[in-house]
Amino acid sequence: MLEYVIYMLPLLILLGGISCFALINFTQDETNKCFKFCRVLLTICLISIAIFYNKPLMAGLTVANHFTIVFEMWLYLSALLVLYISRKWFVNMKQNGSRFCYALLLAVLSGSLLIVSKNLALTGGAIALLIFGNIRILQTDTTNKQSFSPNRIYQSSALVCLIILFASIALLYHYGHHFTYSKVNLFLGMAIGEPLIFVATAGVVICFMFLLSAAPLHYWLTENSARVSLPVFSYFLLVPSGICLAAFIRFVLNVLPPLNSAFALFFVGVAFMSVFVGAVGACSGQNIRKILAYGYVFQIGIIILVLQHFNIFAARTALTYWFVAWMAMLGAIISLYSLKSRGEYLSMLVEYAGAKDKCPLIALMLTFCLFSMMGLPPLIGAVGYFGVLNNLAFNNHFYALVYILLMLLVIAYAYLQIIKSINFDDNRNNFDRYDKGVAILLCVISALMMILVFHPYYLLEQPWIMELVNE
Amino acid sequence: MFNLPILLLLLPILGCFFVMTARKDAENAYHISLLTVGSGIFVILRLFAELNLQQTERQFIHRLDWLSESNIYLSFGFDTFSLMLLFGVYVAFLIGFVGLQKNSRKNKSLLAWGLYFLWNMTCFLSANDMISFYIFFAAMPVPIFMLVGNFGNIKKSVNLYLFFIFNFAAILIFLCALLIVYKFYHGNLPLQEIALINMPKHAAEIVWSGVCLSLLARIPIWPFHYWISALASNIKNPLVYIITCLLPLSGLYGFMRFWQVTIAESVRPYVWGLVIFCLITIIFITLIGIAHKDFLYKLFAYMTIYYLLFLLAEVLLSFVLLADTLQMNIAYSLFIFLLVTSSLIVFDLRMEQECIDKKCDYRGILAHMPKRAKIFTLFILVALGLPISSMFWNNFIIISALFNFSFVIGTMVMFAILLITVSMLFELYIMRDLKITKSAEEQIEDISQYNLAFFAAILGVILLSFFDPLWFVL
Repeated sequence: MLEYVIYMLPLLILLGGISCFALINFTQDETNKCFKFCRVLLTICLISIAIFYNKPLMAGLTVANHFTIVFEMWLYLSALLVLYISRKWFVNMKQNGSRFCYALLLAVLSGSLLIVSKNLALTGGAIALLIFGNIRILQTDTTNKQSFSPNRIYQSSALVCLIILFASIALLYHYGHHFTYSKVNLFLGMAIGEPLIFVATAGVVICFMFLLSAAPLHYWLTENSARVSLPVFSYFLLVPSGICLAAFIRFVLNVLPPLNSAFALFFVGVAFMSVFVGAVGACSGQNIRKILAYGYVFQIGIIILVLQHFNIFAARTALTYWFVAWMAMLGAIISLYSLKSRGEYLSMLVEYAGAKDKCPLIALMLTFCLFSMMGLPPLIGAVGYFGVLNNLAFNNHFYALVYILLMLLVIAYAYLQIIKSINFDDNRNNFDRYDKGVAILLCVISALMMILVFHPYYLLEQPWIMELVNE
Repeated sequence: MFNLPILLLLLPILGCFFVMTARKDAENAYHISLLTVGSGIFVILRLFAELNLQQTERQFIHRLDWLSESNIYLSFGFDTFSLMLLFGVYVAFLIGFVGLQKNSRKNKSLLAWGLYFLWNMTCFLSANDMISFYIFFAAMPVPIFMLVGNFGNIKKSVNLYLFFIFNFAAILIFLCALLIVYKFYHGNLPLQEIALINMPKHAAEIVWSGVCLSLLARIPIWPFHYWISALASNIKNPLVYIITCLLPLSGLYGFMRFWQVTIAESVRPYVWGLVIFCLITIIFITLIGIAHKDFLYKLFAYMTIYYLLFLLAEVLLSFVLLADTLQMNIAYSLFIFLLVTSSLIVFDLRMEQECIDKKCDYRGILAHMPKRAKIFTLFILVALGLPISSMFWNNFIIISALFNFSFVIGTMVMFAILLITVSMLFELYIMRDLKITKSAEEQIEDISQYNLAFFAAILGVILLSFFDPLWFVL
């Protein structure tokens, strides 16, 4: 009994932290303490996860393998990163950061459950918790009077999504009598051609699409990106994406294969729409956050397009692409934290004009991240795109390949606008000196990117991916 | 032996990193750049000494296993042809660095992007397999975009966007072709083995047409010429101008590598279309060059005509199995061409700047700079193709081979070269004409001793090549 308690230590620590934040009313002056407390909790959780990496939290409900440990470690590290860069925003803007810490711990708790879950009921519960965490995160922005609107959009959409999810899970349980992924998979194999079962499975998939903000369910992310504060924006682009993707890939590989022919067309449709919306939407924006948010939708579209093959190679390609894109996005977001004028964080393209003159290192890093997102070699982004396009060519999806390349040309225009504004336009703002910690973080990320450029097999030839199937 | 090829591949990127870490507004970044290019030239000369000139295959091959599971590796090597072009590029860069004004020498961003481009060019010219070739082919527009955006006095940003999007489209077309090759071959393959891939006829047509299109996008041929003329017309920085003019070399080099072994057979039906486009461009650019009063534009027209001449020679003479033997002639000619055009760019931009600073007339400016006038005249004479450099012999062979293939094509090309060179000579006459000068000429300074020695050395290299294009090989 005691050993199970020890294996559940990360969850218990997170629950303890969440209870602390829920019960104690921290003031604005204690923001630094809140972040420090949160950081310590997450570090302890990270260490305990690394130690008990092969022990499932709740046998029967969860799974523990190399895939889940990699993603759990990633989750804690990305949460620590978001905490580190967000703290500066809360201190600079004299805002109370306790709510943000509380919501982030909630998201991490739900995320770690979602990544390891092999039970539909647990997955549903974790998704509900994640959505609750997201809602709380959206409520943290107290200065912005417009913040009510983003939360309302998200709440209403999420509620509908949750209803669909629980109805779908209930339906699957009603007919299949099982929640476990492997059993549901067997049941789906026997129920091919049953429209109701297909609709129920599609309900779960739609919920994942909503969380991943794939088109047409992307509006909550793209519309809110310009209105919410920078920490909230960075959280949405950096943390839930990996959680949901890991859970979605496990769901796709362990539950969906019997219905692959039916769902392949659905995936292609969603992917094409996301890619189109992402590329065109990015070009129409003048807000740098909005452009990045649309860029994220574009990336999700590509991932879904690759996942249409429902096999381990597609999963590997999708994960490689996602990780590469995530790193470039992380670099871009950290650069946004560094470019501020008179203490104000900027968002419009014109405000970044001539940033290169005052902050050359940050401008260079942002430029490289954007070129990487376009997939230009010899930057790391090219590795991701090469994998994706090679996968499409290998499977004879040449129409999709040409479509992606055309849309890549469209989205390149949006990224070029940012690059031009930062590097070529005349300086209009007096940019503040950037934080040394952030500069070091940027250097670490660029070093990591360079290592991966020279040794991409760390990314592409991962044996742990193989543990995804037959869990 | 110390690994010279690897050193050559790493030198520019190391120089770039050093420049980036240099102090702001200090000249040490400039000195590092000069040292990098100088060391590169030294290594190239050393490699020439080690190279077996009789061997046509690549030598000093280095292979880096990138993704062993997918049979993807990067391989680099050199042959006389690529090393000759690399030598020309490095000397052109050296000329560009020497031609920089004092305030530009402190600009870290200019120097770093310049060295980054040089690194791309070095790796591109030494690439020995499809994927390395693609990586560095695709990497080149980024530094040019950044350099032209920062130092190109771009009046309409749409031109800059068009340049990038257009080149990006070419890169993606090449990537498409590469993926199809990868699909049939299940891995990377050396450039010389491309012809061995067993592909269905239609797939081969698509692949090689794609490769051909993406390479053509780099050469200023109608209708792809717009971006380069729109960008080049406003650039006032000699290094940036030289780099922009080096971009077509990547397209031409690609043709040299791919055409004979693979493309020619697959795209044979479209070859005459390409030839017609080349000839139309040659005629139009000649007429525009004559009509323009700006010497730099005439020089741009001259460069375009020569790039197209080399392209025509490669494309047409492969059908009579002559291109293979002519390839080294093209390389020798290109070497002198790069040196001469880079020097003329530096001279002209310097004089333009002088005219702006001293508020004097462009006409007759050389009449008050005797040393500069002599050097400038000699460079013009080399550019005209007079028998003072190896360009004379090699162009003679190339053009006579073209005449031999088709009298009409040979006549058109010869006529275009004649017209543009006469136009350049006329411009030289105007610059030297003392009678037309009106302003206070006494203020105009002649070339410095240091620059005079440098350009005299470049002329020495050019003149010695008349006797043996590889005179520097021991």
